[in-house]
Amino acid sequence: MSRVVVVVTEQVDVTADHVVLVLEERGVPVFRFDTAEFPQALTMSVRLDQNQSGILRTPAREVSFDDVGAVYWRRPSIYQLPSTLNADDAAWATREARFGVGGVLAAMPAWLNHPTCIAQAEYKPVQFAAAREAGLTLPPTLVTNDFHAVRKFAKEVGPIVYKPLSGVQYKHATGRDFIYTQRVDIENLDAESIGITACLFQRWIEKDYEVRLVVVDGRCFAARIDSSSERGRLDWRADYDSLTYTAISTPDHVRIAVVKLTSVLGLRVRCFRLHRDADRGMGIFGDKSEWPMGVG
Amino acid sequence: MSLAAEPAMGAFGVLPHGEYKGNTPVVDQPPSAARPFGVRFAEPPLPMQSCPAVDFFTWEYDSVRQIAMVRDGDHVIEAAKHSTGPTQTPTNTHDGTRYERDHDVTED
Repeated sequence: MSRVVVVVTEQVDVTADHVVLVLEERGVPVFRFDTAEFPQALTMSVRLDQNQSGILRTPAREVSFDDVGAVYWRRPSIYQLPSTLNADDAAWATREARFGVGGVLAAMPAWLNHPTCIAQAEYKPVQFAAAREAGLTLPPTLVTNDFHAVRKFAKEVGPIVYKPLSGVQYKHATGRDFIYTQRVDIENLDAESIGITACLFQRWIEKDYEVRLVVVDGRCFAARIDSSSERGRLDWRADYDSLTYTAISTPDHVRIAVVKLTSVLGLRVRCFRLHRDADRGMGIFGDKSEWPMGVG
Repeated sequence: MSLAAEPAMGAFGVLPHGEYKGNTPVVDQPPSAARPFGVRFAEPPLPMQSCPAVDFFTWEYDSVRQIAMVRDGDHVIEAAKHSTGPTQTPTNTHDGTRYERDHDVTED
């Protein structure tokens, strides 16, 4: 019998649903849970002896660590402590859960991908260092809170764009908005707002199209993304209705580079945003994501 | 960092090796105050014409099948098969928020 695949993610995650369904079709047992279920609906007992052993149990099922063949880390959410706790106790208990449950999970073998590697790879400067080592072409990029450095950079490299460093979401009191890649007019820069926090600026790339490429244990799956709108060409996430997708092959030089980059980051699965322009061909490093998406 | 914003595991709290201590004074923002540069670009997501909005209130997690199910009229079907195009996962994974069902219009 196949060993169990543990899927760690929130309950509303259609991509993980697809994975569960495929594993089910293949007769592979699955144990799915969200860390938010701990401690109220998820029980963990682990012996940290010479050989680590233990169980995870939800109201619906149970898995022994001895039976786990792989752990798929998607997007689990924060531990939900009993609402009866006061804020100080809840904060301490949450921290204990992070180090206890998180620590036990981190010690498990056969990750896809290991959360620590994911966390490390979330930093854009880390991504760029790895991409540089892997031989990908990097666009001129500046991280700064110095207004003068931005102006100097723009004069040096030409048109520039702004990209958020930590993701596209901007949460506020009434919901959330998105901060996509934006062209920047250097005449509209102001020192005060740039000085508030770290900002990433990058040379604007005139690209033929973008490529979404997924590396899985050395295998590459690439899709060409064309946009019929200016907004979508600037950042395809901003205008999904304008997009068309075409499966394409991956040139050898790109495959070698992205596989190496994935390895450098200690990952087995990784998604890439690459650009193709007429001059350089496919392979300009664009962005990252550690989670494969878009199954279905 | 509030409990709600603290992820189960992830970049926050990893580097630097510690948590946000809450020492940054936060005040109600006067209208004239400067805001971080990137915030000026914040915008709501474009509604997708090619795919109807997902009504998450019809969704529920089936703990036995370990997938989300969605109610469509009198039928309850697998959410993964009900949604033919986009996924409903958020585009940012860093904040550790548990439920983000309102704007998850498509995949990232």
